[in-house]
Amino acid sequence: MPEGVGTLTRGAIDAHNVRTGEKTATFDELVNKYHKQAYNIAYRMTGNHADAEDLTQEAFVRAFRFFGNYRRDWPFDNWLYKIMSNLFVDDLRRRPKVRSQSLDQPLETGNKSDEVYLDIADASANPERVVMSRELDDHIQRALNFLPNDFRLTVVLADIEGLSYEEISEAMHCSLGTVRSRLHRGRKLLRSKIVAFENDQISLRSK
Amino acid sequence: MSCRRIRSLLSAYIDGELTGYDMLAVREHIATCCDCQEERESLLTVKRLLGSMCDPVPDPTFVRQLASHRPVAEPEWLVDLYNVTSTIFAPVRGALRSLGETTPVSGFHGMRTAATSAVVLAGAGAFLVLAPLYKPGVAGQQPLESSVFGGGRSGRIEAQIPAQFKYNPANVQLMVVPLSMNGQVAIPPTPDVARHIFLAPPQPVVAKFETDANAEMPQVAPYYGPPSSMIEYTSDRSNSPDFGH
Repeated sequence: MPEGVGTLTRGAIDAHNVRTGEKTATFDELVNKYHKQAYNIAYRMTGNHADAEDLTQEAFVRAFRFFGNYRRDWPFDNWLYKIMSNLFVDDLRRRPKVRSQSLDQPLETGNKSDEVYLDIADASANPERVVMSRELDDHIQRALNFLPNDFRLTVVLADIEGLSYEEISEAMHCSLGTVRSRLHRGRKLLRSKIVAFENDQISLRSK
Repeated sequence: MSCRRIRSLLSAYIDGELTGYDMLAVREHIATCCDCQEERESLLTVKRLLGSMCDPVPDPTFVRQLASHRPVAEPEWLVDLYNVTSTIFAPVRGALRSLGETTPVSGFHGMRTAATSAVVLAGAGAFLVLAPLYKPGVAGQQPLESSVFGGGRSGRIEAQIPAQFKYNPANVQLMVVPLSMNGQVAIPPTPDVARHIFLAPPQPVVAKFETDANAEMPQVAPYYGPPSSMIEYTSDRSNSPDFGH
């Protein structure tokens, strides 16, 4: 769980310091403090380091450029999420590296793929899981790449960054119902993709 | 409630985002329905898998450069100017974006390629003076080397613009801001006097420049840089035209 959720007040104070204090020094602090979170989201959204670096940098550039519009009662990290959300909409739409799908279209989950269940043991109970984790991470990232941008960001903010539905709806300018729907459908789609990748792996090994 | 309806609520249920009747209905249902219970476990596994992923580690060089870029909040007058002129900016931005889609020089990695390009300004008003906004000593903000050709009603400036900062069509702008006769930047600059020129490397662009006929004839300073760098500037005429540092 990232620190973002528990640091609402502190995030707002950080931002206030940028406004009133020594800007240069505080910017370094903000970069040090939030770049990992920003980078994590960016990486999960783009699936590669080069694009993640571009998006992270752009997010910080925008954050300071539009600092005048920043609502002081918002924690800085949530504001950063909002900027990143806008960035993804602007940027990823322009360079669709991964399959992008309109929200208005039905999701293709394959034949009855929703009925496929993931059967993976708890990591703590299974040492093999640790060895497999890197491979599994790759599968999860590949599965994430298949999600439409809106779904992917919702899932990343909820399940990786640990934001509440309300925080996500503010960051992404959408209703709570939309968050709920995207998250549910996103998880189901992820599940079907991860299972498919795991099955591919198994069939490759058995050959 | 049907299994179908219950299942549509399961993600919100495992996230603790259900309340009242819905929450109770789901809890009651999965206590007796094995299929829905299994579905709940499965969705929970997906959620846990996502949360268990190792965080990607950013390149330390990138992190250092991220800090060294150090954008600074724009002063309000510049934000106002930006808002006023956003209508003018929009079509040019569109063009720059399409340029960005076709050029390999873009983003953080583009910056590393150290591309330079000539910028050509034409059709300018009285003396055009390159007055870079760059604040000395801040990474990514370097004075421009420039040459001035002609003067009076027409002129041309060629500037070598080192790609010292992140090149991205969305945040590279060149704007023209009027100077008063003594060479100081008029703050706030009046958008009526300055029409804005946007250029982006790597392609030389010829841009038109107009001044309001009623305006006091201004000196004009094209500023080049990402918006975040357009804050502090050098307007000391004694350094012109090459602003040698």
